[in-house]
Amino acid sequence: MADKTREASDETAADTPTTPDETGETVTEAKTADQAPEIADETAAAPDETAAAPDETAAAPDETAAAPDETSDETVEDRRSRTRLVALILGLVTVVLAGFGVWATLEAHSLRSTAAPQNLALTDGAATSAVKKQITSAINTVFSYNYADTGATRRAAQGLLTGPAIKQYNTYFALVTKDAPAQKLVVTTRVTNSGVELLTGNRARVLVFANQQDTRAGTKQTSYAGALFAVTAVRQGNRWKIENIDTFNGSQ
Amino acid sequence: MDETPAQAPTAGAHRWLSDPLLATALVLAVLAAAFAGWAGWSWYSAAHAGPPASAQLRDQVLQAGEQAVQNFNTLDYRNVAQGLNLWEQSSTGTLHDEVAAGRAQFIRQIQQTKTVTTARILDGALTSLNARAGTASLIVAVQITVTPASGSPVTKQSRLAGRLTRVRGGWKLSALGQVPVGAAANGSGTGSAGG
Repeated sequence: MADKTREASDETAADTPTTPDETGETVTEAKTADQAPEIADETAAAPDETAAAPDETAAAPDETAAAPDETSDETVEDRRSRTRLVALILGLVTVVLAGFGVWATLEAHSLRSTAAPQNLALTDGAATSAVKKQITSAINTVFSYNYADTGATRRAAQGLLTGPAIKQYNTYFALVTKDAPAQKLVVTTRVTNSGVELLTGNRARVLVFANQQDTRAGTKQTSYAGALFAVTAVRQGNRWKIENIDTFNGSQ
Repeated sequence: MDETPAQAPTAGAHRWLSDPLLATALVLAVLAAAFAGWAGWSWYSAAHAGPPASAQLRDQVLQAGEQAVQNFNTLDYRNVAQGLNLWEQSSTGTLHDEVAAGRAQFIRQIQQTKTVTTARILDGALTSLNARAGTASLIVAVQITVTPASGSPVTKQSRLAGRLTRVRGGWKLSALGQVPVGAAANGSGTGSAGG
């Protein structure tokens, strides 16, 4: 092939001087002639490459043939043991993390259960005023009485007191039932100031200032007295009941 | 030829995940990590849980108020100036002005009667607290002991109501008075300043 193109180019080159009209043709021909050897060279080289290629492709099967040998060697034994190792590590990590989680959960729970309950006095406005309102009303009721019907106060007090306050109140009211009719005593108690010091879920302590107006129906004499005490209250259902009255060992 | 190495890791990872043992172990480890994270946070928050800021403020204001009330019910005729300085430091507004204005007269009075007054706070409670406005009201039950130069000490319980105002130096009394007893006592109960 190469030889032929060279001959052809030689021929066109020889033609050129004689026929100027044909120059365009001859140039193009000459060009193709010039290019031709290159193409020829490439095409000549090509067989070498294509010759080499089979070697490579021949080598490739060797590699691919070799690869399964390697992987199969690893897979069967090494990889299986590697898988087991990774699984074991993951398992240990799982056990450690879960153990920590369980411990931390228990610790958090015990911390929360032993922690002092939060004092909601004033921070929970609605609950605070509910305690104040109910305790004020209870104090006004249990410490107000009319000599003509002390039983009415005593009956009303039943639902407002609980625990030690019942005994405290019975002692106090035994004197009332004894003395009030003789003195024709009418006592009106009004809480003037109260402040919630402590308010947890169902316990409260309220500081109370109250004024007592004592009127003796017989003599029409009226006297006033001021009282200060702290009430411990417990919530039973929706009702705050007086559990204890602390008079600070003083003059109640 | 280029495709073969690119496929290799994908195939490897896929093979890993498709292994039921490894996939299970991985899922369990992730779950355990999530549980441990949650539990750790729970434990940390339980260990570091304090009362909320509003509760801390309430306790702090009450403590400041009780201390101020105690200061206002403590006076020794041998140290009147020092005692009155404490009154001034514990008060603000009109109460502070009254203390300052009546100072000279008070010193004369106390030095004549030669009394030592001490106070013990029996109990106290805030009746209102407005953190934004910096105002609060409190009631305090106080046991006051007055010891004259000659004679035995006299102890009485006193019912005091006061107002607190936030100033730069903390919460100070702007009003303090005895809660009146009797017919006049049907009002708010927050009396005028006194000592």
